[in-house]
Amino acid sequence: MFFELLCFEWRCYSRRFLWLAAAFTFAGLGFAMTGRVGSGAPTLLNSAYALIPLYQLLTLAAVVKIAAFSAIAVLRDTNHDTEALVYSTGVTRARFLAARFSGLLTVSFSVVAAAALGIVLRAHWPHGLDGTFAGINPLLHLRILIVYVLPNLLFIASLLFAVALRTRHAAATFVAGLILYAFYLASASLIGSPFMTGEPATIGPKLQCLAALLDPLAVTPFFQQTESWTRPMRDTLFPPFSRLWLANRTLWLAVTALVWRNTLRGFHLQLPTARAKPWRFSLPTRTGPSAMCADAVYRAVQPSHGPTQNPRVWLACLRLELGLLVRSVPFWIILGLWCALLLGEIAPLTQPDLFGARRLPLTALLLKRFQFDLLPGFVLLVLLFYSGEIRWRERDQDIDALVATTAAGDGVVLAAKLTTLGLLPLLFFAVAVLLCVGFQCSHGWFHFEAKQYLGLVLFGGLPLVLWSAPFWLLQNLAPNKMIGSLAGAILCVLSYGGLCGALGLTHPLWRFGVIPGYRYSDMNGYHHLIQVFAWYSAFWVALALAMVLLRLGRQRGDAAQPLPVRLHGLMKRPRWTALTLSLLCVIGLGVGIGVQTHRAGGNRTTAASQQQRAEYEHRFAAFRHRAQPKIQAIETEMQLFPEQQRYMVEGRYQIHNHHNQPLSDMLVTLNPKLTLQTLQVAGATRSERDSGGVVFRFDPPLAPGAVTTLSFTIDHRNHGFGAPMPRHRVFANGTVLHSSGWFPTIGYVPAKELQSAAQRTKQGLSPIRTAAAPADAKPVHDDFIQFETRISTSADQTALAPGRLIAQGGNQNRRWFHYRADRPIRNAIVYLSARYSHEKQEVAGVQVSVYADAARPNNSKRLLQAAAATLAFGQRRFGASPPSELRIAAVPTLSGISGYAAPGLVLVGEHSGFEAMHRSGGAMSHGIRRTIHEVAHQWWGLQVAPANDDSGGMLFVESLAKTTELMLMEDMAGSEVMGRYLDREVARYFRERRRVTEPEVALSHMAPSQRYLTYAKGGAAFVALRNRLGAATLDRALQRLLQDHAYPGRPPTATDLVDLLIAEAPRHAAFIREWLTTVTFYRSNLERCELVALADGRQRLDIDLTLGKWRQDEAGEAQREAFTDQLSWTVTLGDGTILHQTTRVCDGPNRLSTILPSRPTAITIDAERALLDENRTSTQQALRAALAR
Amino acid sequence: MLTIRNLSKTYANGVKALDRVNLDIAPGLFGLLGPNGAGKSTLMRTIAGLQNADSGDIHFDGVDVRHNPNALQRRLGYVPQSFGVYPRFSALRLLDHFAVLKGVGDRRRRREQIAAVLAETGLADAANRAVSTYSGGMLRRFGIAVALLGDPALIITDEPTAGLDPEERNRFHQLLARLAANRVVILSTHIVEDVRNLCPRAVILAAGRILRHGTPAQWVAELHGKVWRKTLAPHHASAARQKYDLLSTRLQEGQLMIHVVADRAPDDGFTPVEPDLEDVYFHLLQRNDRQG
Ligand SMILES: Nc1ncnc2c1ncn2[C@@H]1O[C@H](COP(=O)(O)OP(=O)(O)OP(=O)(O)O)[C@@H](O)[C@H]1O
Ligand SMILES: [Mg+2]
Repeated sequence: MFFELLCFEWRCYSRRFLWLAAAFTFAGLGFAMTGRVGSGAPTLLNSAYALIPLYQLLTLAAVVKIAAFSAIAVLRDTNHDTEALVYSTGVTRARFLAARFSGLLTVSFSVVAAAALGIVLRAHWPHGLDGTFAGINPLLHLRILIVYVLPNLLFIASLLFAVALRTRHAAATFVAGLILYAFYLASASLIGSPFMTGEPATIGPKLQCLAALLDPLAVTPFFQQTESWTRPMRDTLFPPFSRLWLANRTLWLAVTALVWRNTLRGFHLQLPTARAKPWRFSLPTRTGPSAMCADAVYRAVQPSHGPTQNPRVWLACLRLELGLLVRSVPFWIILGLWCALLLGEIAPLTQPDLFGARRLPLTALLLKRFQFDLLPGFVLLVLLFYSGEIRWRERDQDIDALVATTAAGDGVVLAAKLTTLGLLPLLFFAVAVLLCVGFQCSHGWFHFEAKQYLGLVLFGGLPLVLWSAPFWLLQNLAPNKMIGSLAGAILCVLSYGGLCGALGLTHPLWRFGVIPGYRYSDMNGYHHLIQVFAWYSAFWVALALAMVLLRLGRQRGDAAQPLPVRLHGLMKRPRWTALTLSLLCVIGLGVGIGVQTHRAGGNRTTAASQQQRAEYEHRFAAFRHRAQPKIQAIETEMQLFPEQQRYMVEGRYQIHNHHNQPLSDMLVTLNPKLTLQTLQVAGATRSERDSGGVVFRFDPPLAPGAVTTLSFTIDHRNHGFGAPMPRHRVFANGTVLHSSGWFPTIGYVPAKELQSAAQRTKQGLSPIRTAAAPADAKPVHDDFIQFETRISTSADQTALAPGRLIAQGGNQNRRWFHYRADRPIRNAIVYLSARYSHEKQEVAGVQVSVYADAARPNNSKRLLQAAAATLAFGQRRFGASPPSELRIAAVPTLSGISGYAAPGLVLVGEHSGFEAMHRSGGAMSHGIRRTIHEVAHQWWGLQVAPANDDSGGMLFVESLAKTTELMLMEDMAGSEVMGRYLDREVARYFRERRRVTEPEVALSHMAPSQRYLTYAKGGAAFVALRNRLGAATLDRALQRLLQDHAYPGRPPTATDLVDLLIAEAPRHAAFIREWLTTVTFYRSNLERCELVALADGRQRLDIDLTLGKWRQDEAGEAQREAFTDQLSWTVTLGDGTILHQTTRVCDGPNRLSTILPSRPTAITIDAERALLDENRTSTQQALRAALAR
Repeated sequence: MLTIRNLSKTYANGVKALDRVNLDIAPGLFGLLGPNGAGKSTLMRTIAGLQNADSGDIHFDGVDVRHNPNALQRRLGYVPQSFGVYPRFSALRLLDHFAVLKGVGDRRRRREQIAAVLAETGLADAANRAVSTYSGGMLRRFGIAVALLGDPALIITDEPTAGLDPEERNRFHQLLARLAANRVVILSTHIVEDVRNLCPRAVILAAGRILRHGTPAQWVAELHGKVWRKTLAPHHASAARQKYDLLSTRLQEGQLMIHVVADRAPDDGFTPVEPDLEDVYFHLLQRNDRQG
C-alpha cells in the first residue's frame, strides 16, 4: 500500500516537465561547477576534498527546487481543490505524510544525484581547467551523497514541507527557503568562507564554533576541519567526522525532529479553517451596510467606455494588485528579510577597526556594501517570484472568467500588472535608501547625498525594473508558474551568473539588463557611465518594450494549448507597428553599441586576448635575452580634457645604448588596447609590427654609448564602451593615467606571457621554464630616468605628476603645470588631474602636500600629519633624502587603486584613506597605515630597486615599507596596537601558506605575488630582527643599504641584505639567517599556568609550555628540529609595572617560573616576537583564560 | 437579439462539445437544458468570448461577437459555473473594482448600484466580509452581483441557482424575470423544473447538439395523451425495464412508478397521465440516444 502511494507520488513529479528540467539543470550545474568552486586550495579536481563542497553548494541550490517540489507535494491538493476528496479517502495521517514526504525526498535526491552525471562527464570532457582528475570513483560520489547530501536534503525538505503543510502557501514556503539561505550566509560570512569573496575574517574560537553550528548545510565545519590540510591529504582523504561537524549535524537533526514533531502535532487531515481573514485596517467604510437601504432597487447604470476609462481601469487594477501585495503576509516577511540583510551588510561599516578608528557613514560607502551584488540579486529573486504570482493570479484564484468578461481592455489590465511588477524593485530600493538614511541619522551624520541616492535608483534600478519584461514574457510562454519561474531563473543565471561568459558570449549585449562599467565614485559620480548608460538603457528599454508588446494579450483559457499555438497567438495579437518599431530600435541601438565598442577596441574576448598574448610570445620571444637599449630620459607634453574623457600626449624617450656592443634592432612593446598615432625612432626603421609590439632596425647599428630618440603621440578618448583600462583612464574628476604598461616600453616584457599551463598548451606554447634568473639579474639600476612633463587640464582642476613643480599658468579655459624631477627617478610615472583642495606643510626641507577631493576633504589633515611623520622618521632613521616635494593625492575608487607610490607622488584611494573618522585619541587607522606605507616606498622601492624582483627583491620594497609602517604604528599608537596588528598579519601568513600550490620559499627567494610573504612574514621578520638586534643596529644596516645600493649604486640582492645585517650583528647571524633564508616556524602550546600564593604574600607563577620548531626541507616538507633559544616573556602587574623575563627554552616541554610581588594582570610569551609561532594567538588566549580563573 | 449560426467546437482531447448549434435568442428568459457534459458551459463560454469556436458565427444586436468580443463584453453580465475571488478583499471592495472594470466610472452612481446589487442578492449584511470566507451559496450570489454591475444587455448565468437555498433561489428567479423584461437572459440548468417555471423559451442540448427548441409548454402539449404510468413493487424494476420501453422510473412512497411513452396503453395497469417537462426531456434524450 505504502509502496503504491510512493509510486504514485513519484509519477506525480516524473511526469512533470519540472522534474526533467531540474534534473537537467543540476547535471549542468555539476558539469559547470566542477573544478570551479571550493576553497581554491589546489587538489585533484574530483577528490573528496573538492567534491564535498561542490555537492554542498548543490544542496544549497536545491533549496529553490525543493521549495517548488514541496509546493507540489503539499499544495497540489490546495491548488487543485482536491483537499476534501483526498482527506476523506480514509488514508491515515501517518501514511499520507510519509508518502508525500518520501516522494519529495526521493525526487529531491534524484535531482541532486543527477549532478553526479555532470561531474563525471566533466572528467571525460576536454576541460581546460587548471588541475587534473583522478580516476572516477562512483563509490566516492555515493558516499558523499549519503553522508553529506542526504542529511541536508532531509533537513531542507522537512523544513519546507512542514512550512508548506502548515501555511498551505507557496510564498511562505519560498520565504522559508530564503531564511535558510540567510542562515547559511551568516555562517559563511562569519568565517569568511572561500565561497564568498572578501577578506577572510579572523574570529575567536567561540565565534568559530557558532559559525559551525549556524550553518544548516554544514559547509562551514567542513572548511574549518580541512583548513590545515596539506596537498596529499586533500588529494586522498575523506574527512573523518569532526566534532564540530557532528555537533552541527546533531543540532540540525534535532531541529528537523522538532520541525517534524510540530508538523505531526499541528497537522490533521482537515481543511484549513482560519484562511483569508479580511484586512483589518482598510475596510472601506464609506459605504457601510448601514448606509445602504436594504430595499435599494437595482437600476442599470450606463457604463462609459470613453477616454477616461482606460486610466481608470489601470488605476483600479494597480490598486488591487498593490492591495493584494500589502495584504499578504509573505510580502512583509520578504520585506523584513530585506531589511535584516541590509542591516547585516551596512552595520559593520561603522564598527571600530583594529585601531579603534571608525569609518564615516558616507553614502557611497554604505551603498557600496550592497549596491552591486546583494541589491540586484535579491530584487531579481523577488521579481522572479512575483512575476509568477502576478501573472498567474487570476488563474490561481479561479477568477479569470469574471475578470475577462468585464470588457476592460487586456492591455490596460496587463499594463497595471506590469506596473506593479515594475514598482516592486523601486520599493526595495526605497526601503534600502530609507534604511541608509536612518543609519546615517543614528550615527549623527546628516549629509544626505540625494544625488547619489537618485543615481542609485536610476542607474541601478532601471535595469531591474526592465527585468520584469523578460520575466513576464517567460511566464506567459510557459504552461505554468513553475516552468515560467525556472526559465526566468535560468535567464538570470545566464545574465548575472557569468554563464554567458562561459559560453563565449562575452559582449554585454548578451546579458539582459547589464550596463557595463556600472560603478560609482565620489570624486567622479556616475559621470563616466552616462554615455554608456544612455545607449545601453535605451537598448534594454526597446528590448523590454518589444517583449511586452509581444505579449499584450491576456490568457483566454488557452493555457492548455501547445506552445506553437501559443506562439502563433502571440504573433497575431500585438500591435504590429509598435512591435516592429521597437524591434527596429533594438537592432539600431544594438548596431550602434556594437560599432562604438568595436571602435573603442572593446569586448576583446578572453580567447582573443589570450591569442594576442600567445602571438606576442611567438613573435618576439627572441628578444627576451637580446641586448636592448634603455630609456634614459622621458619628456612628455600631456593635454587632459576631463569633460570629454580624452587625453593627447606627445612623448619623447631618450634612448641610450648602455651595452658595450652595437645594437642593430630594438623591440618596442605596445599595449594592444591603446592605439598610437605616431611612433618613430630617430635613425631606425620599422621592420616588423603587430598590435603587441614593433621592431625597429637601426641603420647603422646603435653604437655603444650612443643616444637616440623615440617619439610617439597618442590621442585617446574613452567612452566606457571599450575594454576596461585599469589605472589608465581620464575621468571628469579624478583622472589617473599610469604610464607603465600603457605607453611604449623598450624590450621584451615577460609579464605579457600567458601564465596558466592549460592556456599555454592550448596556444601551442611550451610550459614556462621556471629556471630562476640569477639573484643579480639586474647589475645596474636600469629603470631610473630623467623626467620632465608639461601637463595641462581644464581650468578648475589641478594636474599632478612626479617631480618638482617648476612653473604653472593658465587662462580661463585651461591650466598647465610644468614638473621636472631634480634627479633620476624610477620609471613609475602617473599623471593625475582633479578638482583638488590642497594643504601643505614643510618637513625638514621637504614640501609635503595633500590633495583631497575638493568636495570631500575629510581627513586630509591627518594624512598630512602621517606623511610628515613618515618623512621625519625616514630621514632620521634611514638617512638618504626623499624627493624635495612629496604629494599625497586622492584618486577615485574607479581607478582600482587603494594605495600606490610613484616618485614624489603618493596615490591614496578616495575611500581608502580619506574617509576614516577617528575616535578621539586614536592616531591610527587603515587609511593612515596605508599612507605611511606608500610614503615609506619613497625609500623602499623608489630609491633602492632590487636586483631581482622575482627572488627576494620584495624585501627591499614591500617588506621594508611594511616594517616602516609597523614601527611608526608603534610610535603613534603604542606597541600593544602594533602587536595586535602584527598578530593578524602572522595569522594571515599561516593561513595562506597552507593554501598555496607551490611549497613556500624563504624570504630571500620570494616572488612579488606571494603577498603573504612580502608583507606578512617580511614585516614580522624585521620586527623580530629589530627586537633581537636592537633598533640602532637595524637602522645602521639599513642606512648602509641605502648608501651602497640606492641609485646609482649597484642594485641589492637578498644576500647583500643578509650580509649587511650580519656585518652589523655577527652574534645573531644564525637568527638572521633563520628568518631571512629559511622557512622556519614554531608551535607553542600552553600546558599549565599556575599561580601559588606564598606565605609572604608574594605569588609564584609557573607556566608549562611545550615548544616545537619546524624547518622546511628541500622537498618542501616541514621537519621537526631540535633547538635551544632564549625566550623573552613579560608579566604585567596590577599597578602597571612590566617585569621582563628571559628563559632558556628548547624543543619539548619547558617551564617558565618566577616569583611576583603581586598578582599579574597579563602575561606575554615571546614578548620580542622572535619566534614565528603558529599558535601565538591561542597560547595568549589560553594564558588570559588561565589568569582570569 | 442573439443569433448563433453553425457553432462547432471540438476540444483538443477530441471531445466534440458543440456540433453545429443554431440559435436565435430574443429578449426574455431563455433556458438551456441538458445533462452533464452536454456542452452548456462550452456554449456560454464561447458566447462570452472566453473561448474560440472552431467554426460558426455569433451575433448580438448586429455585432459580430467572435471577431469583436469586447463589444459584447461591454454589455455582458456573466456568472461562470464555478469561480473564485481574490483573497482578503471584502465584497464591497471587489464589487467596486469590478464596477470600474465594467465602465461604471461615476463614483456616486457606482456606490448606489453596488448597494442595490448587494441588496438584490441578499449580501448587504456580509458586504464587509472577505468574499473568500463566503459560503458556497453566498459566493454564487456574489457572482450574480458582479454580473449585474453596469448595464448588461445580455446576462449569461451558468447554473446560477445550484447551491442556493429555496428562499434565495426564489428571489433570484424573480430578479431574473424582472431583468429579462428588456434583456436577453440565458440560464443554463439541468433542473427541468426551473426551466418550466421561468423560461418562456428554451432549448434542450445533448452531446453538443440541440435536440429541441421552442416553448416548453408547447413541448408538453405535443406529448399530451402519450404518457402512461404504472405503479409497481420496487423488486419488479428490472423485469419492467426489459418488458417496456421505459421513459423514466421514480420512487414514490416506496413504490416504483414507471412512465412509458406510447400512443396506446402498453399493458394492463397503465393509466394515462398529464405529461410534464421532465417527460419531454427524458423522451428527447432517449430518442437522441437511440439515433446516436
Ligand atoms: N477544457 C476542456 N478540455 C477538454 N474537454 C472539455 C473541456 N471543457 C469541457 N470539456 C468537455 O466538453 C464536453 C462539454 O462540457 P461542458 O462543460 O460544456 O458541459 P456542461 O453541459 O456544462 O456540463 P455540466 O452540466 O456538467 O456543467 C464535456 O464532455 C467535457 O468533458
Ligand atoms: Mg457546465
